[in-house]
Amino acid sequence: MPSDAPTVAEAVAKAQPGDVVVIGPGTYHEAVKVVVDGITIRGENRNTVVFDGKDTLATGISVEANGVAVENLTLHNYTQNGVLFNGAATAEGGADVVYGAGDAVLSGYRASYVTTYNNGLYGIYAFAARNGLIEHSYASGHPDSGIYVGQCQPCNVVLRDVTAERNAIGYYGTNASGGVYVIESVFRGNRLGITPNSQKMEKLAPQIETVVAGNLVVDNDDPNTPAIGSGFFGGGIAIGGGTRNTVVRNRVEGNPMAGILLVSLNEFQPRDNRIAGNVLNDNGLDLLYSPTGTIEALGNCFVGNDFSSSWPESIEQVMACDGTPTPLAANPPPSAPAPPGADYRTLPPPPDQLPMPTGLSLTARGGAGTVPPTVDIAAIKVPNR
Amino acid sequence: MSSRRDFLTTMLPLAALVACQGGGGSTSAPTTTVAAGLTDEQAAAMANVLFDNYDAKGATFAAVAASTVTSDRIDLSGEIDWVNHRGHALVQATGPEMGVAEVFWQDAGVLERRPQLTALLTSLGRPVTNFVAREPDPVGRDLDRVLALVTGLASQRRDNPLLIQQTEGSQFLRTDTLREIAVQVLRYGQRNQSWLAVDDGRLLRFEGNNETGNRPVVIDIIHRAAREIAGPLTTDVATVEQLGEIYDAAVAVQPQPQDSSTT
Repeated sequence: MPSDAPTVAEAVAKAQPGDVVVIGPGTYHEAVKVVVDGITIRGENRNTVVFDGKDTLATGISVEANGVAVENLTLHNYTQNGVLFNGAATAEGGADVVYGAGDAVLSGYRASYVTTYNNGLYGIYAFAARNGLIEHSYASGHPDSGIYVGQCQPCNVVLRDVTAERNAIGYYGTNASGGVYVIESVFRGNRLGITPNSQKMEKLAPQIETVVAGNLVVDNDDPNTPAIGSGFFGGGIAIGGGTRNTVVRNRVEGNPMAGILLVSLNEFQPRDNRIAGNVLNDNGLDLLYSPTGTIEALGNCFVGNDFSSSWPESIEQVMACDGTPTPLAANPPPSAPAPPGADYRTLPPPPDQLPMPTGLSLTARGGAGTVPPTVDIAAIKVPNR
Repeated sequence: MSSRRDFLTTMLPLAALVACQGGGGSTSAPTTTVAAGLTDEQAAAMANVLFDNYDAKGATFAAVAASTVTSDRIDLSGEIDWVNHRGHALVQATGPEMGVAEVFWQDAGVLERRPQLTALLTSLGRPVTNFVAREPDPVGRDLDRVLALVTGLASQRRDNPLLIQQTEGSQFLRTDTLREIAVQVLRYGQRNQSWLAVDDGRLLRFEGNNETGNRPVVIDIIHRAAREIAGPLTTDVATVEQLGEIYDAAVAVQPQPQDSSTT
């Protein structure tokens, strides 16, 4: 492509399972829908194979098939998403289907070396999909979030070596439960860095079991970003009504509201979350526990963090992981108001990003049938800044 | 932090407040009636409505809120600045809001003009101010609920079409003609209904209801363009607290209903 087909959409439509659709340098004003299982869509050059939605097309590459990989290209200015892996589109059974659970789900997906910026909702979006890998990718300037994994259980997805910056939210994981790993990535200059969370608007609430490990979560207070609701501007990692999440060995610095916070969302309380071994500096509060309507620990605990401020005070004593929690103080400190949001369409494009290292000399990395990889959490270290 | 809205200021609070019931305005007989789920394109159009309005910056509008239980009715004709969340409208009402003739509003407050209050101040020899400033009460007062809905018809962010599609009740209802413009009528959830222009997807009419279905509201977007809305002079405004019992007395004195032919 374009030597074999006039458009990417036509090339993809012709592809058979196992094919690699190779896209040459150029700017493509296309919205491509993928319904063939097991294909790879690959740009020859991450920075010069560019999909431009021109603020009129909805989603750059919309995947509704299993085992599809998208790699080494850039997508921007779509009204909705750069890349969408959408299991709901293939679900049958109408309103009775619980998308993302059982068999009604897309299985197997991968995004590698993908750059997304200034799309209207999400950069890379996996919805009702499981068994995924999002790696070596970049997302900026998104009014909802750079990377979004939603409504899946179990999700079995790994995000690694991702950079999300200047989005409203860096990583947004609503009702994304089971086998979710957000690791060794950078969340910088968003309004809120990372938020596994439970919400009623999506199915499969509450959210459970995400591992957030080894990330650099810094300076999430850039006012030149799209708007976010009050109470979260300046947050690093926020567990919003999530359960049994593990936040471990992240470096969380320069977030003026709070570094790591556990809060309620909708009627969902944060429960049984473990916050361990993180390094926190220069945050409004390094650690904040602030559920609504209770002063109980709800099984949440903090241990081995390097921090200097918390609410409640002495958080590792009153919410210890190996002791009996004590009643907590109510009425946490208020958060600061958020500055007005920027129009995502006006934000600057990112600089060129690191291309797929061996380019076309690689044999097809295949679809996502072999992912997600096994994650050795114990081997993940606190990153340097 | 009670909903996704708290993160992202999206459209769904409207779903919590409003829905689809009959309504005013001029709609021709439907040209197509096929109740079905929303296609990707229809969901995308719905997801874009509020963002598109925000881009337009403002509009003139007409709104009708009618109780199906008491026959109370509020008619508004005005303008809205969606960027700065400021609005102005003339009011004709029966029922509890009958005394209100004009409002200015923004997120933090409502200025209402009640001729009965002005007359009362004059009769008491008090300094006359035409407007009373008070806090919005969109839960307790139907007028304020309509004002909040008008303001809420714009957002800096698109909605998520996948969530619209899977929301119970979302469906394509029909094609139609509204004010001689071809439209498609789409329902979002059980209680929101929108008339979108076929040619460019702009919102021409929003119709909704509360959870019990007895407070239908119809908002017609007449002409979209940036609006600069200047409120009354501060010297013409007193607060509810300043007026105290006089305000309560003015609210209690209901003017005679106006001739219905003028509404």
